[in-house]
Amino acid sequence: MLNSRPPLILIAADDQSMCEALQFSLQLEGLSVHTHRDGSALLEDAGLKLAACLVLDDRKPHMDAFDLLRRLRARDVGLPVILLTGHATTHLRARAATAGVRLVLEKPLLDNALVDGIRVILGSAWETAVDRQPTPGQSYPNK
Amino acid sequence: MGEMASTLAHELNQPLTAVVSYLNGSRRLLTGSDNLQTLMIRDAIERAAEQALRAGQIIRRLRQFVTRGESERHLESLTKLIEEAGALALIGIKESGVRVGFKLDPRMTFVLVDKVQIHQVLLNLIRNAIEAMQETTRRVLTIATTQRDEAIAEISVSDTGPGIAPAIAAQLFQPFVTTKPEGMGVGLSISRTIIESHGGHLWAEPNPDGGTIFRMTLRIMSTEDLIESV
Repeated sequence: MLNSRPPLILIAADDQSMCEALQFSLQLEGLSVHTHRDGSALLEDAGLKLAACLVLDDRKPHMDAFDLLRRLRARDVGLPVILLTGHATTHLRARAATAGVRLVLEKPLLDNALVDGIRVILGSAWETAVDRQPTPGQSYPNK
Repeated sequence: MGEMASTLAHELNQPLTAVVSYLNGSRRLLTGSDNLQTLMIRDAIERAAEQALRAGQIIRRLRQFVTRGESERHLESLTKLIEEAGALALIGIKESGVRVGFKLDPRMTFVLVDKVQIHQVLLNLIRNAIEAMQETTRRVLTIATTQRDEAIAEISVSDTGPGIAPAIAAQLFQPFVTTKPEGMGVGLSISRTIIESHGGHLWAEPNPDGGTIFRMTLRIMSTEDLIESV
């Protein structure tokens, strides 16, 4: 195995309980997860250089997801992005596509769409890093 | 009013997403183990996930009707709507000791409504009525329809519970007002939003027999409307 370090996913969403829940389910899949309240905090994350994928909520009081995307592109961060939205209108989808968002998911997330989306985006990187069965003790998110 | 429903729908997205994430994670944690207890937990998780899905569909509907103004409205028989909602709401009613009576106006009335939404409102009113009578000895639930005039149908759901305290009555339809220990206090406010979006009204008044009557109106489709819509 070339790289056994689990892929790092960064999440920015203002609802802390939802963040923790997403973290729980992604960590169980063997992924490493950092959560942030908003885009500015995410930009400060040292893990940004190592991250494999970003999950951004479009409902953030401090920085709009599209603002954040512009700032990331300005810094030449070309990470794949999944956008979570309360209402995936045609307009929003088009705007997201233009901004380079890989996947738009509408909340509430009621299935494994996020995990599946990340799996597709990471492709072989996921397969090599995450082929061990996570044990509950290891994977449970830190409070 | 639509704004409130929309806000509620958006606020519910986060906790619902969290619930489903925990369910999915728990389901995953149970993979590979197949003793009886694990199977039962898995089954319970599946069922919980189905209910979360249902809640999600209600949110989507709500959001759709708020944003589009018109949700999926079709011509429906009022009698049939009430019978269907009654059948759903009255599942398991026997244990509660409530006597249920239907007094439906025999004149066939058609209304142009979103069936799922009207079911939701009726379900909510009927369940509230049943819950209101848990502590009372006389438990009579009456679901009635009358044609107020050519254009307006009135539907009422009455209970013989303790009635609504004046302090609560004034803000009964405000969101997050509830007398139930487990309640969220959004049922009636959403119900009113739904009925008003259909051009009707929803209000409560004291039941002369003791208890409360919830009344709502819906516009009746006239014969001309019916012919036009064909």
